[in-house]
Amino acid sequence: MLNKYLTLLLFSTTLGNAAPKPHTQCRCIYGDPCWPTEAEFSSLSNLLSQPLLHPLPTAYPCYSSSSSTPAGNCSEVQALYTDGNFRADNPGSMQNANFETYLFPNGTIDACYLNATLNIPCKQGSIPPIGVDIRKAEDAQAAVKFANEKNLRLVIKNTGHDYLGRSAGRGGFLHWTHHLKDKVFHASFVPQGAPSNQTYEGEH
Amino acid sequence: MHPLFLKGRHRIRRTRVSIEPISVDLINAHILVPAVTFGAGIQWYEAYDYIDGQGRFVVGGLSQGGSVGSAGGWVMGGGHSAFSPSLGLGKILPSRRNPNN
Repeated sequence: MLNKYLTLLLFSTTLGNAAPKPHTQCRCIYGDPCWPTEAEFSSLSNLLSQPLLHPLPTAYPCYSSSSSTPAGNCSEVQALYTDGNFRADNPGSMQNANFETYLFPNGTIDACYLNATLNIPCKQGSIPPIGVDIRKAEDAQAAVKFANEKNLRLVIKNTGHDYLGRSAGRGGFLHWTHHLKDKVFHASFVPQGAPSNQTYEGEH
Repeated sequence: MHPLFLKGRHRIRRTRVSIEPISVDLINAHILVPAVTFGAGIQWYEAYDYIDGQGRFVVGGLSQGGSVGSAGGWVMGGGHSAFSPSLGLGKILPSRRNPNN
């Protein structure tokens, strides 16, 4: 609350009484009428090497009626809740649980708590409801093009370490780079486009 | 687009009135050093295993379980490592390049 007040104060001081400039076009968020249809996602899926992702918050399996879900099972989640690699492996997990949550302007929290006995339903929070498991350049091209055409909130997650929460985004469209795992060793590396008449002796 | 290299670690240059910070040079030349190229999803635990398997040592990032991605912000932020005082800054290229050109 204090932060909000200070921000407002700063804003007023900086801009005086000038009204903030409205966005010309807000992003299309999940739940909006503009959100792509099943058929549109399906035609995107035809361009991809992997099925579309439906990311779920880390603690989701603790709320599921079945013992096994794509995100794992509850005892596994409880055991590995703070494990960085476990979180990196789940497209719906952030490294810091606070970024999985969403705070409405009225102060209501949208979250999926590890403690399911609180009797609070598991909510999607800031986890994008759909995403692309990018495995090659064509996947990324199709996904970015789709996001652009549909004016979606494009969210890139790799391991989910971003400390500003940018690996998540409520109602967004997740691009998961986690499985871009190619690696090559070059004994003598030459950058693309480098002229052959110049050399720089680096350290070996 | 030129590849970004961090060249040298003792480039503090004296001027008449001030000391300039370490410079980051854009080198457009052959670099005759071993290097690795990684996809965006490679994490440090995989990077260290792979480079160790090549019989090399790399100045890289540190996190529990090595879960942080290695082809991203760490190197673009300068590549500051616990080993930097003795071995310099991280020198992995921040983007993929064609090794055969």
